[in-house]
Amino acid sequence: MDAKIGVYICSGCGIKDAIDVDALTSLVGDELECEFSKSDPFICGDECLAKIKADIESEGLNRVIIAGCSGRYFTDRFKFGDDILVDRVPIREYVAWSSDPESDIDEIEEVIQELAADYIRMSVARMNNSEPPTPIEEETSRDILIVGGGVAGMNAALASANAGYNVTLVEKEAELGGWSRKFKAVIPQSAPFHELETPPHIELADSVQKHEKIKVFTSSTIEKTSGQPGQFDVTIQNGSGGETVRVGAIVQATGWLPYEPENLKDKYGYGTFGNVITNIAMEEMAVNGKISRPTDDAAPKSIAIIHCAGSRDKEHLPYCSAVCCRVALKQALYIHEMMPETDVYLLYKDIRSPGLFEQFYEKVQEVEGIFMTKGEVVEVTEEDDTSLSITLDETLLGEKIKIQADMLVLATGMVPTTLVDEDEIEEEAETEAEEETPDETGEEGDEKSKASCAEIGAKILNLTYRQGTDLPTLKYGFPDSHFICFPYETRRTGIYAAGAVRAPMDMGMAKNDGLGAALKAIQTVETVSQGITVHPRSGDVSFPDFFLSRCTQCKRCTEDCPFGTLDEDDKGTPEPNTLRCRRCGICLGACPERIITFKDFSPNMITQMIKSISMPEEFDERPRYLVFLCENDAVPALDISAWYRHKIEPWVRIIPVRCIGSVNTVFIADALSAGFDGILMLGCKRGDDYQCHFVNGSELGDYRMENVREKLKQLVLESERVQIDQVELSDWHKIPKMINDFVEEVNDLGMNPYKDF
Amino acid sequence: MAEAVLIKPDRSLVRKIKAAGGETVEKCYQCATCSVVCELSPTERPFPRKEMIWSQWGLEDRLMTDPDIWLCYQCSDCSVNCPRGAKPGDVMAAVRRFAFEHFAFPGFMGRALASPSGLIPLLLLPVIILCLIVWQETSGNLTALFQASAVVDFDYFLPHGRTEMLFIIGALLVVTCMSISLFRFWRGMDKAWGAQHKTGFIPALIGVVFEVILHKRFSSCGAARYRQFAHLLVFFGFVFTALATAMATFEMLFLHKFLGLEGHYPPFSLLHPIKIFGNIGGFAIVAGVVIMIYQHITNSENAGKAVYSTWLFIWMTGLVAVSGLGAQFFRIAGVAEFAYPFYFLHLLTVFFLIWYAPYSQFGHMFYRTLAMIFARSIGREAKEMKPLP
Repeated sequence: MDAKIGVYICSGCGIKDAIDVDALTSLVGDELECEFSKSDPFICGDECLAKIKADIESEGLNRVIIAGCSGRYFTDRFKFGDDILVDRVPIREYVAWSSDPESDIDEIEEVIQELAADYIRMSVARMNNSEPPTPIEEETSRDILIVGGGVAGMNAALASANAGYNVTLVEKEAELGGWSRKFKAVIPQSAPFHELETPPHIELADSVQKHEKIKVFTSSTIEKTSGQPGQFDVTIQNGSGGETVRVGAIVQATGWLPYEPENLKDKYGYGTFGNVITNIAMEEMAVNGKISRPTDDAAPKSIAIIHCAGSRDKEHLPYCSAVCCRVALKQALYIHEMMPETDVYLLYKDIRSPGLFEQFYEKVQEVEGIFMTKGEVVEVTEEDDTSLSITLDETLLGEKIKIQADMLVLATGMVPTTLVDEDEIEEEAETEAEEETPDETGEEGDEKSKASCAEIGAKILNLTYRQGTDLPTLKYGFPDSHFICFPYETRRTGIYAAGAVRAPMDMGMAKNDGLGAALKAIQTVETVSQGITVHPRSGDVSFPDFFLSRCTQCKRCTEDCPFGTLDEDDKGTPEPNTLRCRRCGICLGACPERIITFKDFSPNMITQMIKSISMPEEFDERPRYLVFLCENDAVPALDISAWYRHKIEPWVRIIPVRCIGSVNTVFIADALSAGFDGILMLGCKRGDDYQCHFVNGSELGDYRMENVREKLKQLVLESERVQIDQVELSDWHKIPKMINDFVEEVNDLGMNPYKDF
Repeated sequence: MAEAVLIKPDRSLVRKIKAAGGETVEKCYQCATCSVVCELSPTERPFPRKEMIWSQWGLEDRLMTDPDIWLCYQCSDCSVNCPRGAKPGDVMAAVRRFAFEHFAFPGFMGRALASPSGLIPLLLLPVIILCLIVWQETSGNLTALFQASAVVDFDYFLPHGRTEMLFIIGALLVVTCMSISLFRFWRGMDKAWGAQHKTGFIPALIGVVFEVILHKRFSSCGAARYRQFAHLLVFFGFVFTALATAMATFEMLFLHKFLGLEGHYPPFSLLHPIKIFGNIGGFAIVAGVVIMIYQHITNSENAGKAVYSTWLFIWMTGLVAVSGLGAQFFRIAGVAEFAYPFYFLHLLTVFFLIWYAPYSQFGHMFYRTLAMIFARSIGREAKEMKPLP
């Protein structure tokens, strides 16, 4: 369908002070192929909106360009129906508010006018090269699968079922309850945080089993999970036979495992001395009603508990498991309740009992016979079979001390069930590498073993995804993907992590996690049923289209996709699973053949936008800079900067993109050959604490810069001409300086020599 | 690296400290705010943070060899600023109370003074002694004392010679017992602190005496400023009454008895220096005690936790002064019915204060002085006051 474009230019909010709006309007008749253009001093007003709607009717417009404020304002007012594509051109933010008419640039007014005109040209190019997206229409399931019947899992199941969704709950053990079933008591969860509470699983398991919308599979594991959100086919295996269910979304609440105490043999004598046990073993004893010295079964007169045993320790778990301190306090309290004459020593690095749990700490402090000190455990030795001696340095007592205890409890930390044992991977990788055919080169062999690594690991969901069988994890094996903005979210769309598998937490938090992840799962089944995407581009209708006949099977898209959207066939041709897609466009940025397109975002569209920008000749001394701005943080940050009237150089042309990862190196080559003097990409923070909304888009952008530098070398251009930088929303005040410094730096290099070709 | 010291916590001591006014001790979580706000604490190994954990663990050997518990004047700056309400000031006071018991020689006296159950026997002893003297002097004929025509004559009722003897014996006993306790305390401190004495005992003592007279340490207190004033009044009250007593003893024993000079025998005229000193002292004590009682009742947060032994000492001090002044007033007024009982009460309370001095809170005078001498001799000074930027 041919584009019929109507252009509306707003002159309000100071736009007409900076720009000759009439001249801008006449641009359409003179130069651009649109139906018409109009200006209005109050384009967001009801009157003008009514006029636009009337024009759409009478002129048969299918594209509307609103040149005025940023698309982040009045978003809903400028929606005219699914088949009308709207582009918001922020001439207010990018031109009127951020250009400096007082600048000493020659003919500054003309320069600013040119800037505004370019934005109109870019928008027209965008409109001419895109179409209104249509949603995917597929049959989807609204059922939810919960993996793991612990506190988080059961809460997620109940929350989903109570909201009206059918739930399947799979539990590996014979009974529901998880760790809660193995604990004597749990940390108090309500004011005044003084009394230990009974473990929550009893009530929960009862409600879950009675719920008519929840189907429970115990003693079962998941053999295979295939498909995509709305269409997951999950094979549940209980040993005697498999059953396949179709679900729309999955909550993985598989919890945690205690840190391997064998690793603490040298440090605390675990395994060497019979009376050194873990907090888990202490819990077992307490459940059985008798705390006794393992070596002779006698009642201990004193028990020492070492906090952070193997936690916050570079040699072991570098992180804090958040609960062990409170568990130690809990155990001290029930030891006292069971055996009031037994002395309990709490030997800690710091006591971490955040928030109102401080009151629990205070309560335990007041209990007689509980002695606490900070200190570094230097040595644990055995006096005899029934007594241990613990040496501590850096204590609060101001000296190096030794205490004697009948038993030593190690408060070990939590390891997510998703953690892949690194040694195991290496071993398996080695085995696989040995199996490789000998004629392959070493380099290829390495690549192969890396790929197989992804297939090993924690075998829980057994996904049939090309990128691996389970949830990708962060640094310490936790499967979270964006802690700050989207909790519970993993890098597999429609699969959410809840409870201690996501982050170390207590049962109170696990409960909340279950509820939160259930809400996310519900969002997913609802959105995929409408064919639209989930966060962060919630509600986006567009989806990528692969023109596979031109595909070269380079696998860049399948490997780069942060969400494992693409599987591949035997030849390596990508097989899109569109409902897994979050529409970030990283695949589009990866594809050297430019065959991946969205209806409203495509390589051709960007290229045409770049070409539409006016390119003055070298002698005009009017440079041109292109800035790709990430829509997630950088675009709103620049809006804020403009609101405060921070100025940017008028030579800059901004193209917002879905993610810096969606910037194809081809765009950069196009821009350089079109004569742009420099190109800057501003994306989200990358690294271990990334804020990229699509996990690794910003990282990939940086990685692809390598290729760009290569390209620049071939063209004999300075590498400073193309740069990438990171912006957080809170960096809004730094954005103008980043852009202006870049402009200044490249200005010093002189004009792009390819300008006049 | 230093050898590790074996530590054995003692629950019973924790219980004692809690009972002696330190019931908040367990609230401490060792943030050291107390040591930071304390103006008297030295920079090295500051107090009262370390004393708090020693108390939580019941480490008697550390607490009882620690001069720092006596360097604290309980101005309550730490208690007011404590984020946990652990009231280190009160805990330090409780530890000091325990020290009276710990160092007491003989030991049962320490226990007798520490709790109300010991009060009756402690009172009975002087009552019996005084009654015996009265009985012997008056041959049981008490009615003669109260005849309308009779002049109030304390010398007849309780002869000055006898009472002098009683208090001289008391003083000797106190000096002996106190010396034993102080010797143990000093030896303990020496050992625990591995002390290198930089200043000799006498120069350190002179320095401390000046400090005490000027009440210098009190002046850096923030939360309980009134203490400096109240304590000064009581302190100088005692100094004045002690001077008066010394002068009276001199007049009676030396001038009157030894030289046989006439007139140097009580009762003295109100304008006699003995009387002037005694009366000034008496009124000062009353004033100081009134402030203390008032503060303990109305401002208990900053005044520190008052327990049995605090009240016992405050009331005894107050009663000594009030009964002394009362006896004098009623003697001059000729009201025998009040004069004799007041005089009896006066001697009773004087006995109580003097004989029991090492075991009651009066003992703080000795322990504190010794601890200050020790601290001074090893160069343990309060942190330097720096003006705020």
